[in-house]
Amino acid sequence: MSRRGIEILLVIALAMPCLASDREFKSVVSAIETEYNTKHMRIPMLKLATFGLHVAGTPAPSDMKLAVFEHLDLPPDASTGEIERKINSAMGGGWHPLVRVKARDEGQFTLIYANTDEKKMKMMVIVLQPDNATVVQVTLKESDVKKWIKDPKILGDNDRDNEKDKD
Amino acid sequence: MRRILIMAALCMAAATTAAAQTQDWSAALAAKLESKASKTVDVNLDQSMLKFASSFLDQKDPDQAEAKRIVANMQGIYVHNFEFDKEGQYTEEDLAMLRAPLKEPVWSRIVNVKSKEEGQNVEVYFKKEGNKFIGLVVIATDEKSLTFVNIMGPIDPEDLAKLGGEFGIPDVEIGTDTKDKSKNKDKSKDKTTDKDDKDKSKDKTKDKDDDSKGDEL
Repeated sequence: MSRRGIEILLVIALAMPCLASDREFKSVVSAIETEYNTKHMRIPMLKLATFGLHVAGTPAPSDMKLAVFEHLDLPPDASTGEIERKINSAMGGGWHPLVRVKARDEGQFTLIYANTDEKKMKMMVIVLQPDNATVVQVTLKESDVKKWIKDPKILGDNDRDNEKDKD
Repeated sequence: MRRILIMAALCMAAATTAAAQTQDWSAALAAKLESKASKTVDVNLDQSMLKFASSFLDQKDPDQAEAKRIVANMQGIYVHNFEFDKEGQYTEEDLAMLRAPLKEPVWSRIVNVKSKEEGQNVEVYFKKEGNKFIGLVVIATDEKSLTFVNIMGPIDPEDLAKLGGEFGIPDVEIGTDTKDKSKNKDKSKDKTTDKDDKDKSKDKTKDKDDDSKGDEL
């Protein structure tokens, strides 16, 4: 094999973990698009914004992928069984279902998956609501993980934020 | 090669059994309770997640260092919480289904606190293997909520209170709150506590059980 061939193979091998983690994100986005016959919105310059936060010294994930779906117009009591099954099958090995929150009154359904390696944690948060849905994948730093360990529900439960807003 | 295949098959079987154990009594009832609940929260921390999570606990912080020690050998922590809009959404039959696998001699109910005034009940079960406790289940209920906690792996009964508030486990205080005993004296009239355990665990938890008569849960 030529030297160029070996270099290409090496680059592909190094990129495989990134491609694999992208694959799950894309599969989940695709599952929502198929299930609700919708398309996700493009968020322009998201990577630039994340980089800007780092430069400004604001705590932010080291990597972030985001897909937003609008105007879903689902009934609040819509069944989530099928989409949950599709999302579960879209998640590859290495992703663990961590938190699952279903709030009937708000029609909100939240799934949080985690994928851990040595010192980083990737989390995928999927939030489905009657009028919109969001899929976020973040790579968390140690300090973020410490906050989460103290209260795992904090990421799947926005009641606390709502209460703060009321105050 | 054959040996490797046999080993792999055994590992897979063990993993499947472990996975089934985490879900066997909760999954059957979960769908039923979820259909009535206004809010359902499930937290699943398997061994790999616990190992990863504990690596971030601060050894310098006494509470976190203690939590790190306790979870070091654990295989999983699973919390299922159901909140209901009104009373009577879960039945005694549902609770009986939860308790069904928690039978003697494998399981022992060590704590059972009932508070008529607050409508709160807490049952703590330990799974025994010889003289060791290798699993723990907490069933905490009040009029509008039901929480089921399953902790798999070796645990000391005294460590339960220390784990409360960590990893999504409810802050269940069993005989550790001595701040306001006088305030709780009256409440203790409405509470009953029983101790079912017959062996070593009885001695170990006796003080806690006695104290818990007057404590908030």
